[in-house]
Amino acid sequence: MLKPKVIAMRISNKAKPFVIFTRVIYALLIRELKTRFGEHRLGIIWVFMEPLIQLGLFITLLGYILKRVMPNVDYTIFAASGILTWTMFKNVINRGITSIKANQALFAFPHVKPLDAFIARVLLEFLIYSTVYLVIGVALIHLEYQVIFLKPLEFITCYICTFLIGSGISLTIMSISIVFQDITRVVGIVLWGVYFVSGVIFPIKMVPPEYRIWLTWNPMLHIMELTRMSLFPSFIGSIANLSYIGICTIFIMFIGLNTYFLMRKRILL
Amino acid sequence: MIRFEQISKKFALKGGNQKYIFRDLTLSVPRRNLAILGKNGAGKSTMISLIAGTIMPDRGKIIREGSISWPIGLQSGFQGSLTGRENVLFVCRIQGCSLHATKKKVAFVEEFAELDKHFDMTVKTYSSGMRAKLGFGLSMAFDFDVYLIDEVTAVGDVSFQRKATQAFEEKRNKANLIVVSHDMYVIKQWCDAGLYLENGICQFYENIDEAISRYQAM
Repeated sequence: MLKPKVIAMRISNKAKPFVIFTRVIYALLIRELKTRFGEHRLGIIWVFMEPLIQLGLFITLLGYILKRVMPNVDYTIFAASGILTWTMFKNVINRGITSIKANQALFAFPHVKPLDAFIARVLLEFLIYSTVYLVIGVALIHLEYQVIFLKPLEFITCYICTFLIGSGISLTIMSISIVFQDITRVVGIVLWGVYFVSGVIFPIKMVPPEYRIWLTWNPMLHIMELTRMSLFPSFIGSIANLSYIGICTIFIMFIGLNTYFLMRKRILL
Repeated sequence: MIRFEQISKKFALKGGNQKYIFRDLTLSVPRRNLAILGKNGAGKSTMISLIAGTIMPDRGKIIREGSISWPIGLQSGFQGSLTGRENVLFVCRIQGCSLHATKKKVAFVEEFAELDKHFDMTVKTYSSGMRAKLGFGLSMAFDFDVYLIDEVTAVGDVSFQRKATQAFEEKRNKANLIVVSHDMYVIKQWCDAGLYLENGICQFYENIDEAISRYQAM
């Protein structure tokens, strides 16, 4: 007569999957945070230096030319908005790819799944670089650069879509790298290439129209244009399309999750 | 109770071949202190990992009732870049311990594992013995219905082994063990039934002595 009672108690003692998921993500976030800046002594400074060095470089290299191309747009803000968004994007991809390898030992605990390690990692990158964005943005405003948030909602949508697209790409590459390691070597180079055709540091208007058609397939270009349109009243985007960004985000996330789903059984633990 | 339902698990070999460890295996793991015996590569560790849920079967499903520990073994799951204490805290967070319970568990592991200063040093500086002690202490801090033990009991010096034996003895009243070991002395001490694995077939032996003699006749 005692038996059903015991079983009922056991089941109620078992935590719900979502509760376990939040616990694991929380634990992994703290674990990632503890080592994120510990690897190098300059870790926390480097997080700020990486976008700032790029910013300084391109202001000195291109600032003068682009002042003529876009007389109504402050190039410092223009470049800062592009570079800060891109830095987040790039780091989400790069750090996400290594998430399985870096947390391999922890998968000995059955609650910890490889996808959790991935989510915790990209989430932390998102939080870190959003903080960097805020700090540099506030610093620029204090230096009396004019920042007008024309369309804050569009700006935030673009930023979140960047994160989601980055996560989707990262998850895809990570899942493929389970069986095909070499793919991770190409990522850095490809990202550099895409950097220059995404309108991060110069407007796409500078590219001749016959090439521009091909570049409009790149969702990051749309994001950059829309970000600028939400910051500068006088900036006129030529291609930006919010629904295209939305479709791309959903599509890339779908690809990422699907590749993970197909590959997850081949992860050797 | 733990039930395997039509479990298949294969591993890829070099040259595109595949090796099946289990093929459509259906079994109920009896509620006993169970030893899993077999040759190297027969799938003992795979079975432990399948029970724990750290690896997924290619096909089929596993039904688990009650709480099951993670596989306690030599390659226990510690993040090398974190300290022993931080690793214990990590596990407490996963298990959803309250602040008070976490404090108690950390103190227990610290006392049990006898690592002294090493407890606050990164795990990658540990020797394999220290790592195993930490892993063993950690698993003893939690109450499970089934403990999965993968070749770990012969770790540490004599005094630690005595301590481990004592801790197990207390757990044994409430919980069951599933042990993988090549050490027949350990098996005889801890288990009262055996499961012999060969070519993906499991043979259950009600009596541990029969299982051992089958294993030694191999």
